[in-house]
Amino acid sequence: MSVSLLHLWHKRLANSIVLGLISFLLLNSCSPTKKENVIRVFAAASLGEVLRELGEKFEQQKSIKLEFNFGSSGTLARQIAQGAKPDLYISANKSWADYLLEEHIFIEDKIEKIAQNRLVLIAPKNKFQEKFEIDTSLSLVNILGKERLSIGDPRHVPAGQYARQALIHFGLYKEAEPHILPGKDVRSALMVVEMEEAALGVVYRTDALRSKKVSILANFPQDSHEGIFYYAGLCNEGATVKDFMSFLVSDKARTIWQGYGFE
Amino acid sequence: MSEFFGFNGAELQAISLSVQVALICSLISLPLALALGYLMARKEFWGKSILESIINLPLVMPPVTTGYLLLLLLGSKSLIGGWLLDNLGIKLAFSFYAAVIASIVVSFPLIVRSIRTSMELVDTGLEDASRILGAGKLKTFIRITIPLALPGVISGTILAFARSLGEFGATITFAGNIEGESQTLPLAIYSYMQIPGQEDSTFRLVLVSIFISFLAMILSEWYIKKMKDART
Repeated sequence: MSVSLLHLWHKRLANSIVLGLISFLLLNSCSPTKKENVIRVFAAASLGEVLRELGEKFEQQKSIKLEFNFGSSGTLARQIAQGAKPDLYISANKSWADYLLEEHIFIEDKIEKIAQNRLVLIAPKNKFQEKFEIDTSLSLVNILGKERLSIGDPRHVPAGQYARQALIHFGLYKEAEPHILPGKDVRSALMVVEMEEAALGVVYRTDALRSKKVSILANFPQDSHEGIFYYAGLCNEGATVKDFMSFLVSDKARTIWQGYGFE
Repeated sequence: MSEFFGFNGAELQAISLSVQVALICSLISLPLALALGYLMARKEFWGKSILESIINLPLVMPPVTTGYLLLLLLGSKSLIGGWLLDNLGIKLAFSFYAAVIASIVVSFPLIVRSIRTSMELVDTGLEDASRILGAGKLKTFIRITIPLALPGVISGTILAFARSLGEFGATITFAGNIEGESQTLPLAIYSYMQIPGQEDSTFRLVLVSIFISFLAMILSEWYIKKMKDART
């Protein structure tokens, strides 16, 4: 008797949990998906910190909320092409912004440069700190020995593509190629150097500046690779998004950009 | 049509690497899982539930976390990884072996669970009879316990093989995405997905991975059915 009662009780409990879950899901899906006074921004992962601060400043000025979705520029572009609807897209390289331009996602059919980054050579802080200039007389292999060179995967990570261009520019790519450890994005390329799995790395200056575990050995000259620009495209007509876009390139925003190492 | 099946070098490398990693992973896991499965099914000892939780942890943890923990545990700055590097000159992280280790850790709970369950179902009376008739512990284990638990052993191994084929998170974190070294099928698919206009390559590799997993599943089903028929 008691066994069957317990059984019944279990069944009731399970039923009510299932019912609760279903009603929760239904209620959630009924709520409006598009809220007023919210700007949705899909942006490259390397802009995370700076955009959050810029966003806070902008939210203080206007009574508007910003929602961010950070990821690799390519992943975000594919999400948008498949139907995701942000108000603003910011890419870390031109080809993904162009990809969405060709799909006619952007309302004005144009993209805008909003910031610039630089490329640096880094090493784990407690291993190597001596600063030097990069030129054709440099031998990376001498520094590397048998160790690895960590860069973003040059097949698809923009930071890795810039790194390859810069290394080719100085004739260093051939000797460095067998040492390359390709990261799935520029942040993991940085992490590998922080963990001393690689003796050297080529990453964005903004990321290197924020890390306490690596030291910057050298800056790559701007002319050794394609310009590293961030491109933004408007995906929505709204006036508030346009306001945010012009805020991003305003003088007030510039000091914040520079505080994070952007130019 | 021949164009479609014409895989390029990098794709073939990823396919063969995946199969190698999965095979080595299953081969290493199997004896360990047999011993551990037996231990879990037959013995009571202090800390058994803790050991069980540790084995099962990779099953519920996000694979990226598992990879990160492996990096902390076996990376060149860690105690174990540092010792290996200083004394034997072996760098585990970001190599082929790292891909195998990641696969083993992630698929191990599946094979242990399956073997343990099937060993629990083996009649201990038969094991006792074998011992009374003079067979040693090891002989009893090999001649009685394993054959009777064989369906579970096989399906566990296939599960581990399949899980290892699909392993992504722990591999990319601990072994990296190096062509010809640690770029397995899922990692190659991921890389192709990141490049605009590589949809064909992506799709080809997706088909291959479905085909291999499907083949493994069908083989195990067929074998278990054959054994059932032989018994009745």
